Amino acid sequence: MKAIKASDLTKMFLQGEETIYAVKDVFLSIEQGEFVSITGTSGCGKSTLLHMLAGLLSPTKGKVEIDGEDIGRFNERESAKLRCEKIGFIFQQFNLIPVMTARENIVISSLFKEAKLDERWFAELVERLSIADRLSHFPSELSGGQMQRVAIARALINRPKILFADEPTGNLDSANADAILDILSELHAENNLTVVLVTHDPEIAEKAGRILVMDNGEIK
Amino acid sequence: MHIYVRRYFERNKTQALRLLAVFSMFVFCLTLISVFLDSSARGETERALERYGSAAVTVLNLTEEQAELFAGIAGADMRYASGTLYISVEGGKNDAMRVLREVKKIRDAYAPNLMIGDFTDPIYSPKSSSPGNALPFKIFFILIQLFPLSLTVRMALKSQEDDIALMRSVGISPSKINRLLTAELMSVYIVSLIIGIAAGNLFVGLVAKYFFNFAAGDFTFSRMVYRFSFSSTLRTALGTTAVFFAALQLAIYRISRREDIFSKSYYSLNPPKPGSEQRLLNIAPQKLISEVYIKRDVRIDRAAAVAAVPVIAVSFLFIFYCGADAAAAVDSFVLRGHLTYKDAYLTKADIEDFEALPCVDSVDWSCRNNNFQIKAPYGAINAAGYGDNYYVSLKTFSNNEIEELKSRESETGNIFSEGSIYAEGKFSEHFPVGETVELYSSDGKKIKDVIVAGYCGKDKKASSIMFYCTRENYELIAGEPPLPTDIKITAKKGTTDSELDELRGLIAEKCAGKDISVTDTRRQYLDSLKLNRALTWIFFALCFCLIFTSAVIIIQLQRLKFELRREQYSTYRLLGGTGDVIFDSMLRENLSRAGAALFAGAFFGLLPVVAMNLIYGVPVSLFSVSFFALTLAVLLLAYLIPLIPENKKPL
Repeated sequence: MKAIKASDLTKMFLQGEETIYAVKDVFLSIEQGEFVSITGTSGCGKSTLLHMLAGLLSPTKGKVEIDGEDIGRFNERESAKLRCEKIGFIFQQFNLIPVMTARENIVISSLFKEAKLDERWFAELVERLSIADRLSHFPSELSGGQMQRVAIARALINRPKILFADEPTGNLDSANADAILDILSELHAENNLTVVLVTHDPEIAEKAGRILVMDNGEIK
Repeated sequence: MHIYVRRYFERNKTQALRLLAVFSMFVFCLTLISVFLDSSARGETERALERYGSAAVTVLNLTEEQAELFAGIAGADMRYASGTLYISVEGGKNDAMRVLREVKKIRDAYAPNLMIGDFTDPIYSPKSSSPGNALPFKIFFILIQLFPLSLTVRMALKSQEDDIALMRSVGISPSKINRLLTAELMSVYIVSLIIGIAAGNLFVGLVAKYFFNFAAGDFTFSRMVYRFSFSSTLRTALGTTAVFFAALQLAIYRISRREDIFSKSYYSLNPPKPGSEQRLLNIAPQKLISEVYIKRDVRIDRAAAVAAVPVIAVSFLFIFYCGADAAAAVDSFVLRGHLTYKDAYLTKADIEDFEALPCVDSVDWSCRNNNFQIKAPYGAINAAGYGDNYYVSLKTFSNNEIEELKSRESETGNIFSEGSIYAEGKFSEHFPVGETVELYSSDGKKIKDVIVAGYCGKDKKASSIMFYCTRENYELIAGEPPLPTDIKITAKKGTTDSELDELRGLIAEKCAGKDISVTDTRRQYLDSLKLNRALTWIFFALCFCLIFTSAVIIIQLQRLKFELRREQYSTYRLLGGTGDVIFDSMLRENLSRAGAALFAGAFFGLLPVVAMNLIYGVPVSLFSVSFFALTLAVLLLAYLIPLIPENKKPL
């Protein structure tokens, strides 16, 4: 079954009178449980593509389907439901809420879902991510690696089908980066999780089952 | 530098306009107080001049022969009219004080019964503008205004934090940055200075012209005369600029010299209470979000909350003052007269003429207190603090006092009887009950021997000796007809102003050429309405400035807060939060903060009002209450307005 399907996906910007294509005519389908990395040089459009696939950015042309549903037709409530139930995000900047503790940062995701928190899954995640003893700490009191682990826990707490990761190791040292990638690989394998990872680093990209290389907004 | 300043205004037109509004209000407020107090002092001076001429000292109730006694005082100009000697002094306050001392010396030596009016106080000086009175007001308002001003500047700088950090990172020194920021904000301030001073002068000029244009004379109790004063304007401009510059430097200093130039950390994070994890499982997301911001993102909103407190407190105090004063003005029709010259006293026949008028309800009158006197021993006089006087005037009980004493006869044990003397305090030691004393009239003629009949009771604190004499029996005891000096004429309820004019005409006729001061409570009431209207306009302008400034600050602070949290709100939406949930969390947070600020403001504003009400029984007008409610509503709105576009912004 196809987790994500993109057809004729294009994003263009106007700069003065010049039209710039950030993403151009991309056709893409990703199976459920697949680990795909999108790589390429800086400015090639990989982050723009990821954002369109995740519904964070509306395409100029084309459509994105998740689980067979065209997310471009979703209203705000449906988009929110999609993000709650089916999608998880991890970013290079972690995007944790600075006034919330690690625990609150993770739990807030499940509160949006309006479902009871799966406490066993929560315990397993924080144990696995080695942040069980840091749950009462604020992001400013955590290291970069710990912050990214909290972000992963937050992304996975609602057991999403798809995880979008935008340069998740960009701000980490190599040891921490390896650890995070190992965790992502394990969670992907164990939970049939679809992972779409954007990175400019070819070594990291190679950890994925399929590598998509972008150049000037197009997939090669 | 000028390129930077010009670019700043090109890029930040809206912010520059906001700053212009807040700075102008600051200057306007201080100008208003300054010009108002100057104009008020000028009006008072004019009134004092009309009333007393340039007299520094007056001697009352004296004959022309007695006036001659004071003729030799150096540096004093004498004018005698209607039993009063007006003494003007050439020179300053020291000369006036010297003349006053010499007048007292002559009085004590030759005519100890004469009364002296002392106008050597600077308020009666024609050139006085009483700057001392204005200073506490100005300091008070400067302190109140400093807070929003410093907040506004800090806020403006906050939005330029990135620019400042970048300038620092490329090697521009803190002092250079300080100069740039000072230049850009001072250039806005200079425009504000012109606007604020012009508006303040214009406003007070209009108020003085249209609301303080009262009838001159004894009935007037307040006046305001506006005249543009270059020196006063210059002083205000320099004062406000100095305060502004100081506030500016305080705000700029910190931001231009920050150690950690890229740090944006403004959170004051309080860790969650132990055991609160379980609560997280059942809480609504919007509640959690609003709670964490209320508890942990405190600094910027605490400032906004505090901004509301003085505004509400001060504005309510002002409107309370205006409203209560107007409400306290009783709709009465009483004319009180006090005659200060013996030859001009009214007669009983005059009183009967007043009583005959159809609009008059009652006429109450009393004689002079010192129509009777006794020779008192030195010890008694000294003990009572009467100086070296040989004669001591007896107080005659007023009719009200007599009624009160009579009603308390059983309680005090004294039976008060007509034509008897009663001693109290130290006098009772020298005039024991049963002793005979000689009673003299005020001109030293012996009337009769009188026996001390008792004590007036311990409730009268002043040590004195009193003569019990009702006005009905005055002539019988004193051997001469009573001469009413103080009269109180009460008109009937519903008396019209034209009917009162008849009474006023009769008073003018009876007292023609006499040195009489009349208090017309009806006219006072009408004047007080005009005064209150004028004051209300002044205070309304001040309140408006404060509320406007505060509202702008609150709105700006809220916008800045949401701007700083832009990424966080996007994150919530990424995690599945809808715009409605986020809006709900913002609404909860701002309602909670507004509630705390407005409650605190109302508390501090109401505290003195309640105290005044309990102590003095001063009522609160409906106008002040409704204005207070409006103030709260405006400030509440200031907290809510910034929410409107926030949940609609794209991710």
